[in-house]
Amino acid sequence: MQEPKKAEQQSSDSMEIVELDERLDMAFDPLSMIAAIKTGPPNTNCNNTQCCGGGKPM
Amino acid sequence: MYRKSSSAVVSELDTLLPGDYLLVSTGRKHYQLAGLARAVVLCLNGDALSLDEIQERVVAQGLDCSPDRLAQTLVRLVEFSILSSAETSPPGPRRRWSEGLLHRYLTLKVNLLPADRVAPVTRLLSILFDERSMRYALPSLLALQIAFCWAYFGKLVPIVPKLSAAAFAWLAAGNYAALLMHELGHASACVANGIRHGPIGFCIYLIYPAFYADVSECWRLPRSGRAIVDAGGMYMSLLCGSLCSVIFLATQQPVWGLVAILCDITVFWNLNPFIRMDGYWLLSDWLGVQNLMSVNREMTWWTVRRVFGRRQPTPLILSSDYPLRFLYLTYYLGFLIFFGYACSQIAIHYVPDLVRTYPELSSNLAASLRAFREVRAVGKALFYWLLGTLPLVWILLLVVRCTLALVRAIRGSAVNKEAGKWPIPTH
Repeated sequence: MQEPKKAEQQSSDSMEIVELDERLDMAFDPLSMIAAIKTGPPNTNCNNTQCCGGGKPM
Repeated sequence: MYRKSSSAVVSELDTLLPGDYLLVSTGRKHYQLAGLARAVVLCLNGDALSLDEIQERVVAQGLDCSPDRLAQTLVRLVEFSILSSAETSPPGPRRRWSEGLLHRYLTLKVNLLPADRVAPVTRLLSILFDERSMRYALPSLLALQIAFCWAYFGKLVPIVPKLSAAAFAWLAAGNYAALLMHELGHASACVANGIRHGPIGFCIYLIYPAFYADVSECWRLPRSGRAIVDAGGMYMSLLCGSLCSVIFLATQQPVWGLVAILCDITVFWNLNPFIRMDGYWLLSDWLGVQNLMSVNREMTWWTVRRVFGRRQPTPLILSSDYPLRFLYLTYYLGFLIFFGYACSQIAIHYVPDLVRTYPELSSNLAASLRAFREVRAVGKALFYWLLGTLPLVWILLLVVRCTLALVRAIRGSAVNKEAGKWPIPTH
């Protein structure tokens, strides 16, 4: 029973000093997200590396 | 001899969690102190004391304090630059090699506007952030903008593909100006509450591009002040959106209406309380539970350990008063549903698509690099390859971290032994 008690004490000690989260108030860029959603996944059937390097958007 | 570090500012932490806490700010970092660490800082405030004198004062407060335990606590307080010691030179907080290159949850973080550059603007805008006027203006503007979106979203959005290049450039400029105003809103709310704000920058959250304002110093404010800072960005977006809506209604120029809709989308996304956005910070401050995401993690691993029959101290949040406990558990249930839904969407849509397209994307990139004729073609192939790779890296990192934490939880060791990273002292 000594070991769990010791571990619990150590855990409690380490929790006496807690770093608070960095507060970064974020805002997603709606335009690029809409553009990404509208573009959709790349169409890998296109292998023309001259026009778009393959993976032409659908 | 030990004394409080000259850079450490000590104040009370406004929280609804049970227990007594002290907030110590050391420049950019903010620490919550409880138990012995709190007692040591309180008894040292202003004085320089030896280890024996500190022990004497702490024991007089009725705290259990063996010399070994006190020595360990003092070492950690010196490590975090909360105390300075004549015997040992402060080594400063331990840094990992990756710190500065990798962020805890951001793929990329770049400061764009230093705090002193934007200070004249934030001072000017701070007059908008009066608590009483915000209390009425914010819900009214939100209701008006919901009505505007309801009426015009379906009419304006189909116009986007038909916009001329010049009109699209104006739309993009309006969008980024509105995002900058959103971040200036957070920073100005800090000034209105009498604290300093940090820089404004660009980041990539998972794979999504975003802008941020560093408002970490608002930990020093009471919860109501923190809530004003949290809502400041949405308030500013609503003001910008309303202004654009009025101009659109007056001129019938679709670009103004579309910018208003983009402002509204920013506000609606920011209301999500399950990722670190404005809604998350608002909820965290309203509940009075700091490091809310870490509390969710603590709850999850505590439940896992219980399932595997491991003895584990009960999370502090479960010892809080009834309304807080009930509200938090309701939120936690929502968090689990959101997280589960997000994982299922990744599993259903992203993973099969990635398995199908990734080998071809890689071979296309290799082919375009071999036949290096046009930089534009190589750039596009690289862009699509990165678009597929970034979420993959993020998912793999998440899976590895979860697996390691699960193994530790099952084996019964502490999930996070890193000093000062665990969120809340357990009961």
